[in-house]
Amino acid sequence: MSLFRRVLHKPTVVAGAAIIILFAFVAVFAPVLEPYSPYVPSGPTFAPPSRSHLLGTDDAGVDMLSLVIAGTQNSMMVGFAAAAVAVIIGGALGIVSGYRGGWGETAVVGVTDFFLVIPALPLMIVLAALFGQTIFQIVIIIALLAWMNVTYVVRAQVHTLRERGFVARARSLGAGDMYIIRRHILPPVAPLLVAQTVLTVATAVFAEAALAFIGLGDPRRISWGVIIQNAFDRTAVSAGAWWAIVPPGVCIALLVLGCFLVGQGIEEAMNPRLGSAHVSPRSFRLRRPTPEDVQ
Amino acid sequence: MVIALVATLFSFVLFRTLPGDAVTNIAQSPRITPEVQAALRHNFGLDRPLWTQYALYMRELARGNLGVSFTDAQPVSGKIIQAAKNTIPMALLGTMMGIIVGTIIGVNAAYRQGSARDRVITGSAMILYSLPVQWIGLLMLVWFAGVLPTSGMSDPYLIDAGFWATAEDRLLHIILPATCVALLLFGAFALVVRSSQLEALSDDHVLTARAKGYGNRRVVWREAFRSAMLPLVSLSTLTLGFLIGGGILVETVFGWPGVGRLTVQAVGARDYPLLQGLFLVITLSVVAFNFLGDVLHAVLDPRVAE
Repeated sequence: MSLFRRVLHKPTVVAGAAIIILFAFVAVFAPVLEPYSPYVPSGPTFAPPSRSHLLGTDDAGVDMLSLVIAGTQNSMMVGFAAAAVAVIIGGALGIVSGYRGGWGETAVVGVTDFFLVIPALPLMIVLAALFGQTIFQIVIIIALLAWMNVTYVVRAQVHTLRERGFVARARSLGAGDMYIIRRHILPPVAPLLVAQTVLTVATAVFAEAALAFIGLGDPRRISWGVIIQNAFDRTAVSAGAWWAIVPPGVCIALLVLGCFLVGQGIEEAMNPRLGSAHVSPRSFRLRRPTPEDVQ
Repeated sequence: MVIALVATLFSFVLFRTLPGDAVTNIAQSPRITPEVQAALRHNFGLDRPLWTQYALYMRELARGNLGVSFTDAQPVSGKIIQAAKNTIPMALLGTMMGIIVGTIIGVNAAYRQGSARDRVITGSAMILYSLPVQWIGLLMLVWFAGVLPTSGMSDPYLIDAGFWATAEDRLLHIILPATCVALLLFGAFALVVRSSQLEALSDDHVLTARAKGYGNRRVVWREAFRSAMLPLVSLSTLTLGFLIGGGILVETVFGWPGVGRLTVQAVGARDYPLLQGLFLVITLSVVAFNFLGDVLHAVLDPRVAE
């Protein structure tokens, strides 16, 4: 596993992974870690940070720290679930179309191009408005608009693999397509899928926060996006209660940064040409990837 | 062009997949008999095959008719044009600010790759890039409340003011949202400029310019940056297209009556014709700006045109 080693030797990847693991830990143990209930007031309205409420309280007197911890759980869940769905869709399309070629590939490329051009946030808003906004539907909607990158990257990789000698030899020995994909295509593509999953988590967390801010979040669940939206809707601004606004944003930024660092680290380790400085914007994914990036 | 056509089909199909149709809603009123319902469906053309409906939709679209809003029965196209008029200056100003600051900072970071300055710039651009824009906007609201107008496009109490007073009012109102847009874009622009500038600085023609003894300023800006500009141009046009609808979050925070805010209102009121029209306009503007970007790219770089 030299790739694995190389990845773990990068301090940026270790830092990014530490951030993600920390948030995952908080998400899993959320009920234990919350000092108060995130649903019931436990102090005065908009109390500034103090010893009993480390991050202060919100408009209803609910402890901010507990809210952020509960939000971590749902934001991480949406992020990882959406990323998993997107990578499964995108990875399957990328592998099959890259491996089989032909008109199927042309069709996949066409659909991918179309979805890349369509502005993601407006479409997500339309879909959420049309089809509902439970957490499950939000995951699906985000995933539906996040798989294209995966398809592009994976397809390109599979293309080069398909022409390699070992695939041709396996085929000439009579190996079936499924066998070749499983034995010879999937293993070298797997790290790429991991990198894409992590990068998609960042996109998904962002998307969830954006939807929630517009009022299209799941109203029964606390997420970082919902906390920001509540702060906006419920006069945290005019009360000057910065503590009700800052923590969820910092959490989003940290998690997104952690995902970028890990995802990029893996991609750079796979393709050392990408990284010249310690942070290489060459491989930096824009919020909406331009065609130049993905090629 | 093909994508534009597919986009109209897509938005048509998307809104047709809704359970029920325009009449179902009206039919909730108890006095409406099935005969009236059928008549209404016939009037709206909803009893014809889907392909005919799509053809009708396209015909009306070609005439600029996007239907009427559910909420106030005003033509959708008029509402969108009004909102776009508000969005465009804000998006343009914000993008300009983002481009200018991003370019200067990106070029500066590339000047000494790996230096402390480079690391600080890249690091802060990356952090800025990972912050949700609505959150940046909220913090700006907290900081600038009382200093600058934080909501809307003009002061509603400013009536019959002179030209200069009105202009000043407008300018003060645009500062915060435009700055927020600039902050949203700045990180991406700085990183893109930095990387393309790094590439350009290692080109042969830059070496030649140095050998000729040109000063640093001229080498960096006139020789290297000119070839590093291309990615910036295509990114800028993409961004503008994206901002027509992508300013949704910024417009919501600052109460800017533009396309994005109209979208949010349409969602809130479940105003489907308006939402459909908005979605179509946003998609088409993105496609148009993509096309513009390609054209500009080809003009600036003749190699692409071939």
